[in-house]
Amino acid sequence: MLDRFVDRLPSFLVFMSLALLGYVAIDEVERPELLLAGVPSAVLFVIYLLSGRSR
Amino acid sequence: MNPPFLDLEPWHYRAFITICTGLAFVHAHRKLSPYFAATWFGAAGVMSFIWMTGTSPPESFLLPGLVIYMAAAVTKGIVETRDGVRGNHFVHVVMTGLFTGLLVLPFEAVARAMTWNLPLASPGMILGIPELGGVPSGSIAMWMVVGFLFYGTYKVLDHIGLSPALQAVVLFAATPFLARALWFVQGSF
Repeated sequence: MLDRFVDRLPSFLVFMSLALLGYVAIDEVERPELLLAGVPSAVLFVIYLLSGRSR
Repeated sequence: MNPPFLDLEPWHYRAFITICTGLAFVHAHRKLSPYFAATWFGAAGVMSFIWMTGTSPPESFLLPGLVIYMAAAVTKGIVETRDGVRGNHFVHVVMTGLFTGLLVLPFEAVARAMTWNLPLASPGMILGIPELGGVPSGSIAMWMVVGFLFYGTYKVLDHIGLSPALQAVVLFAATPFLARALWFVQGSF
């Protein structure tokens, strides 16, 4: 269980950074254009998940 | 209006970066070795401390080590599944530098929007690109250089045949020179 969590930590960290950005951009400062900063990370996140190394 | 517990303050961001760094340390500890985790985050912290002349808040010192580690892990996941570039250290280092600049964007955009502390001054733009999500292009390029230099140094020391102990000593000894290189590059943007 712990090992499976540790294996997924890099994806979890990227996801957490995107979640923080989403919360701040939409709810905290209400500037949705800031979400653009998350696009490259989101693309990398998807490529990383598809590559299968995150498992 | 937000519930009071969701109004973010600077210490929330500090706690967030610290917890993320702790999780990255655990990943390095379990997947590689305790020795690797200590030298990586230790050397990155020392480099950041010297680079920022010891005047930035704690989260700024932690951010380079965290983001470069995330970039290196994501690079490994992506590059090692491609037959053409598997095991190619140069590609690894270049991609890690590139990904450092991309993965730091959410952190940097949040800190700028909330006027929280940033490890870098705000460099100008490069290649005529003004910004992405509120982050100046010069800052993105600067982060790419940070990732490239730190991971490149680590890779070189890892592959020139030094013993682990000597490798750690040289890595820590290299941090003032890395900080100096970063000041030089920072000044040229």
